[in-house]
Amino acid sequence: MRDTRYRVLLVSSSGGVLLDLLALRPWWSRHGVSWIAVPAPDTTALLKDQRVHWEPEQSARRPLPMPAAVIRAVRILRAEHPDVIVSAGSGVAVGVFIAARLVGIPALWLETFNIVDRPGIASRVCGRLAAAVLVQRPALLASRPRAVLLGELY
Amino acid sequence: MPRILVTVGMSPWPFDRLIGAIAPLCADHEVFAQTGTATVRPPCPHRPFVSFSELQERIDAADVVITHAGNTVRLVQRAHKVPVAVARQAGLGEMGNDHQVHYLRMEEVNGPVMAVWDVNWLPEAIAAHGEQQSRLLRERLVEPAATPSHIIETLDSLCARLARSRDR
Repeated sequence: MRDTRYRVLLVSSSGGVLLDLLALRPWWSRHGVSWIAVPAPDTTALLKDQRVHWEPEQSARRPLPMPAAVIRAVRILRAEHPDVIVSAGSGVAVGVFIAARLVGIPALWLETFNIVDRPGIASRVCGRLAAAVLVQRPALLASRPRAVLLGELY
Repeated sequence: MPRILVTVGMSPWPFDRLIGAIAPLCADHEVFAQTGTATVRPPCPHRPFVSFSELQERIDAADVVITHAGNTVRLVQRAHKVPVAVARQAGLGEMGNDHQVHYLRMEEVNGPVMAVWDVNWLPEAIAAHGEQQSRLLRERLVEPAATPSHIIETLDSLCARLARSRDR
């Protein structure tokens, strides 16, 4: 078992994508964790004991986020100095993944459980910017860039 | 009286089609509905949102779970139950894309789920649920979830690889 402790930044909207990241708790609980999350009833309740930077949701329909969102994300990344960023979506992640590329921090995209074929806009953009795409289904290994099979998370 | 849990998740998109369709079930079932941002009110106990722990307790306690085709489908299946699932459709303003439609079409063929495409058919689906659940749980298996040690090992080795390539 490795002793290396990483600084991990988790990025999440509300809903199933939050459950995906919470399912990674066995891993991230062994490291130093901070969050960027969209305020919603589930995120505020489930992350109440976590260190969270609250950010507004960005429309997942728009391929690129507002420049202000990217600038705010760069500031957070410079403050947190994460070794790695992980997100399953959705819109809020796009600005963070662009900022991560600008600052030179590797990001991992996690394809949420109920995506079975074509990725959505946020997934396409973040998947391209990611150092690896974590998939829960073997069928997605061929269609996602730098895909790594993680298996079903819950 | 059979207990039914209805859940539509945390989406900002209202799912009025499903919440509006549960009214006929409320007369002869004990129904609780998590309604999210729905603008219609069902004639049964309901709340917009419930905590995750309460949702899991309600899934365990329910005889039937009616859910949108989100990740909740798997949560219900992991509780050894067959969910009745209705997919949110982008064309009806229920979601920004049709991921739930694609997912449910696939899960309907392979997984232990009862897909309902016309919500007017919900009462028939509930009536048939007991028999269908026995059959589907017998015939269709769910992939085991990744173990904590596999998750830790996969992500730690990925991070170590990324750290090495950054140091180069």
